[in-house]
Amino acid sequence: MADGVATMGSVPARAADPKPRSAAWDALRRLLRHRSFQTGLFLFAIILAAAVFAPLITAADPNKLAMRARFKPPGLDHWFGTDNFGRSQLARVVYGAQLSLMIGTAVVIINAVFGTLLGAISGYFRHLDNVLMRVNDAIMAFPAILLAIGVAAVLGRSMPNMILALSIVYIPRTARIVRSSVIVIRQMEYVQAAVAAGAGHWRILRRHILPNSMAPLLVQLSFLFAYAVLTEATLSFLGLGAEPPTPTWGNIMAEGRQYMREAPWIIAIPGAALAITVMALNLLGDGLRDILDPRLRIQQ
Amino acid sequence: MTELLRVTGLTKHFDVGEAGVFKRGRGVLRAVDQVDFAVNQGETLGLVGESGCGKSTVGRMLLRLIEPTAGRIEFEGVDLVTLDAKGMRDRRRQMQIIFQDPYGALNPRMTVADIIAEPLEIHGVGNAAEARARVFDLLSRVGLAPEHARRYPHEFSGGQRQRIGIARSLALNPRFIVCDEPVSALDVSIQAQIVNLLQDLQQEFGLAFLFIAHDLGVVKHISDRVAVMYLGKIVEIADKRTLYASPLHPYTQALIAAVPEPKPRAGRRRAGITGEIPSALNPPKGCRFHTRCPKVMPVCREIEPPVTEQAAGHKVACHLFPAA
Repeated sequence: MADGVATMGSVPARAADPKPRSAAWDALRRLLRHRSFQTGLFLFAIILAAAVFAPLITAADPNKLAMRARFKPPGLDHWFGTDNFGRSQLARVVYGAQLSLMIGTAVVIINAVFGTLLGAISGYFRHLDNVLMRVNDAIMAFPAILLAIGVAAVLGRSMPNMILALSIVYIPRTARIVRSSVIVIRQMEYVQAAVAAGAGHWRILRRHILPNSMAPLLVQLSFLFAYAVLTEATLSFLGLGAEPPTPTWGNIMAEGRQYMREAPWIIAIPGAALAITVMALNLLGDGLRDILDPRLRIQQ
Repeated sequence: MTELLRVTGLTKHFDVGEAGVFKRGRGVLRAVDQVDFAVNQGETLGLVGESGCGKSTVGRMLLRLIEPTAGRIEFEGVDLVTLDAKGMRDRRRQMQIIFQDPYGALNPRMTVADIIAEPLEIHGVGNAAEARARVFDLLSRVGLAPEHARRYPHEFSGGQRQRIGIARSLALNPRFIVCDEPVSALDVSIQAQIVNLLQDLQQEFGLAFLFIAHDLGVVKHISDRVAVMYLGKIVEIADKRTLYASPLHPYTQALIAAVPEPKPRAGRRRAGITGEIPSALNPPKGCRFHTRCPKVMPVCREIEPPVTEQAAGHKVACHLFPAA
């Protein structure tokens, strides 16, 4: 990805040639051999497949009530059992996966854009740094979950508001990471060489600084995806997410909480799905960190 | 010979110390203090000195990679310090830089072709096909092959990387190149190759170099004239032959005495200097070298020595050599 950016508008010297070994290609090959990355990828692929193929996995409507089929334990008829309204747990959990992944993806994309923008401006135009980072620090001073609760409560219950709340919480953290690598990269001599060649700020940022600052961001975004999914579930559980019949994992667990003794599967299954998702993303992040940014490994 | 570049009173002070919302910088680091010199067309001026004496800062100020605190940098009669961004951008076609670290000087995410072609792209020189032809031409001039164009920097050795950096600096046909310790990071055998390459290119294109180094042997080989810097000031400047044969400043004498010789003579007097270079945060009063000078006199501790011209083109700043 970074490679594509770096060679935009390039001399077409290699149009007819086989692709040379770029650093990004090498990294991808090593990633696919990394044990925890493999495990993470496998688990994440399962969750992703469940979300994407939800209508094929179950024909059941996640919101269709069936009062005669309440509290059915997992079995052949209902793989994941039914809940207190007789709704298919399988349907609710796979559609819940859809919502979780959609929210996670949206938060990651918004963070990638605005976190990069803020971090790059802050790290590159140093006279703006102080102002931007003090605002950043003010937001970061609140514990993530508390701030998310506050913002979600103010905005009201809906999917877009949930995405907005999570973005506000995590963008400052992403911006910090981008800023710190921009500060390191802008000192590199190839950046000086670009200045000496007469390159403007935009070119220097786009071609030299950003492509070389992406490794820590990529690692951060994979962890961020996990935080976003987890925080969304927490807020839903607390009643600050999408309105109840919506099958988010948090909502399902909130309802199942009352029947934990009689029907533990209602809360356990979405809980397990959440745990697997978060673990998969953390494993992916670990792999990315090991391969792309070995220095970070020592710090943590 | 015609003068290409004249530097007068070039000064760089860095604010250091705790900077924060409520604190202002407390110390001033005098990295470069009132430096004067000139570079003629097609010549090489060597600039030598210990680490931290400010020689790299001088080189980078010439290209305004670091903004000078004070002074004039006249390039072909135009003071670069007064130019706006657009004016400076146009001047940059004439002046380039080669860096010390061949690993840090090339963007690892760009192919060699993109790296060398970037200056052409920035200044809108030629179309894609012409740029490509120019890249191949430059590669062959620095001793690389056309098939290297599509590779990435990490696939090259240090010496090869330095050649790529040189090709990039030549792309716009500059008249002046700052060579900031271009061979210090290379193996000795590779150093000779790169120095010879630089000399060949200089002849071919009539380039002027400011050759920054701490290795006096290399400087002697490549330079026409040599300037010696100590703690942000030029203490002596002369043509190469004069400076190496009859150095005047005690610091220059010590530096030259410290150059290892292929056939060491027994009993050769070694005027080594002891101690560390003082901090540029708090430079010694009077002559900055007085704390380490073997010939120190009382006046050196009080008054800064003026620059005097002892022979044509041989200038020195030392109380041992008062104005004639």
